[in-house]
Amino acid sequence: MPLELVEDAPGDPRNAKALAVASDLAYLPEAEAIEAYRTQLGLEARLISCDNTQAYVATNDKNIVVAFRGTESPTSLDGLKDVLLTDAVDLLIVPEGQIGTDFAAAGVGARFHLGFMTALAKIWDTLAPVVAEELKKEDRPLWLTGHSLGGALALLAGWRFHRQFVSVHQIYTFGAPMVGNLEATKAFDRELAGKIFRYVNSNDPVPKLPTISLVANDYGHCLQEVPLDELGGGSVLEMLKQVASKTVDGILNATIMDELWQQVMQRLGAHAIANYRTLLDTRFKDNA
Amino acid sequence: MNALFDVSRLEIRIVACFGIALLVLASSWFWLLIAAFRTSKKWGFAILFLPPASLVFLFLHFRQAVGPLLLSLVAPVLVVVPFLLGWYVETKLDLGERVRLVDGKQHITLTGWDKTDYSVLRDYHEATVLQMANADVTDQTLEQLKGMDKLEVLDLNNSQVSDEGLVILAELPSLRELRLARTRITDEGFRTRLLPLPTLMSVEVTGTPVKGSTLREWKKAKEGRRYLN
Repeated sequence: MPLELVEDAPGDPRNAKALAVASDLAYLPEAEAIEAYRTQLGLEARLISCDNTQAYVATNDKNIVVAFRGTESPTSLDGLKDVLLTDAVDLLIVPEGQIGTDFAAAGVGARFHLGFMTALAKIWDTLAPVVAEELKKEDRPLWLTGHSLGGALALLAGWRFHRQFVSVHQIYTFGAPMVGNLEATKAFDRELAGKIFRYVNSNDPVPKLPTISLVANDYGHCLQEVPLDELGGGSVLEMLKQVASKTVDGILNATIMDELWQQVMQRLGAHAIANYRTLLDTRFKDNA
Repeated sequence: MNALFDVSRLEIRIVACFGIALLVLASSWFWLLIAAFRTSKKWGFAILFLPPASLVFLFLHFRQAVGPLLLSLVAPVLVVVPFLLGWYVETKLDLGERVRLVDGKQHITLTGWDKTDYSVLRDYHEATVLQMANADVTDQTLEQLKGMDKLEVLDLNNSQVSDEGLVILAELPSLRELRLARTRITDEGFRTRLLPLPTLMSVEVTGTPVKGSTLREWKKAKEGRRYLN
């Protein structure tokens, strides 16, 4: 399937499907990814990698796609670094330097996730010139995408490109966590109005993160949420209630524990990019 | 600025802290129970079935009980600290002007601040970057920018600035990047005031009637120009 991106249709499911594939391929190692971007999407990709932050800049003669890699499996060393050094550092801040000025533009009260901000700062000096060079070759729509942590980075990168007068066409995130406080997200909605599409599987717990920050400053989401319901009406509380109703005299027996565990695993699976792709495929079958 | 503090999620934080506090209390009591049983079986059973006995135990065997006692004191701290932090952040979050020195250049941000008096700009006449994308910024406010000879980057998005204000902006000798998204400027104003500026390299005019043809003409006139519309 060659890449099919519809420039003048914001939030078109075809775009979401294609960019979910791009977000998925961003998890692959360099050689495999380059091959897959070529065969599956018809894009020439190159890896931008700094410490444990990675993104693929994938282009053809009509589009530029930047796909950020998300948190890798915590069982690998890279994944463990992602979780400990990036995801878990959820203090809300504004950094110093030029990047600080760029993000303070959201308002003096805006605060951002320290871990994501550090990851963006690391990759930016390599990524921005590559994108600028591509745009100079031929002015094409710039699409940003990513799953999980990659989605968070796509949002923050979108803001920074915009501050540097690089026009961001559209941003698609899949199961992305929150990136900043309410003041920050309001600014995103104002300055990047109509460009952000945040796909959320209602059973996926990650978009609800980080709920509690060390500093009592609150996180918020950009407004444009596209919910993808999988099991229907399944909050974690609802699930616990259902399981609890099956207990006899409040005793948890082995079968019920099994069921509980299954439900928990199902919810963890809800976050996987493969699951987002399946959901998009079934939901928008007709548009294919 | 109350929106900074989302009440709905405050509840989750309070519940979490109470939960952890309860766990701490439970473990300190368990620790005390072990200490009591170690002292003697009688003390152990006394505390297990008659919790107030722990107070007596505390006085008679202070050395054994001091650990659990200190641990139990952590619980009230856990409950109080998030409230204090919340109060601190809410009242002390600095919403005044943000002034930073970046590579020896002064960067000023007034976007989203909680003040209305822009005469503070008199103190920042050396500024290179000025961001004041606020709805209360008008053409009169721009009078404050006169003489800011080093100003290279100016953000006036979402303000009331009109073609009249562009007269003042056109006199800034170093202006390189200008943001005027969702302001009252017109295509005519852009043509007469901004098109001839040689230093201007980047503009944002999203949500204004400035025409694409005007912007393309402006971009063509100099290598490396960028615009957002």
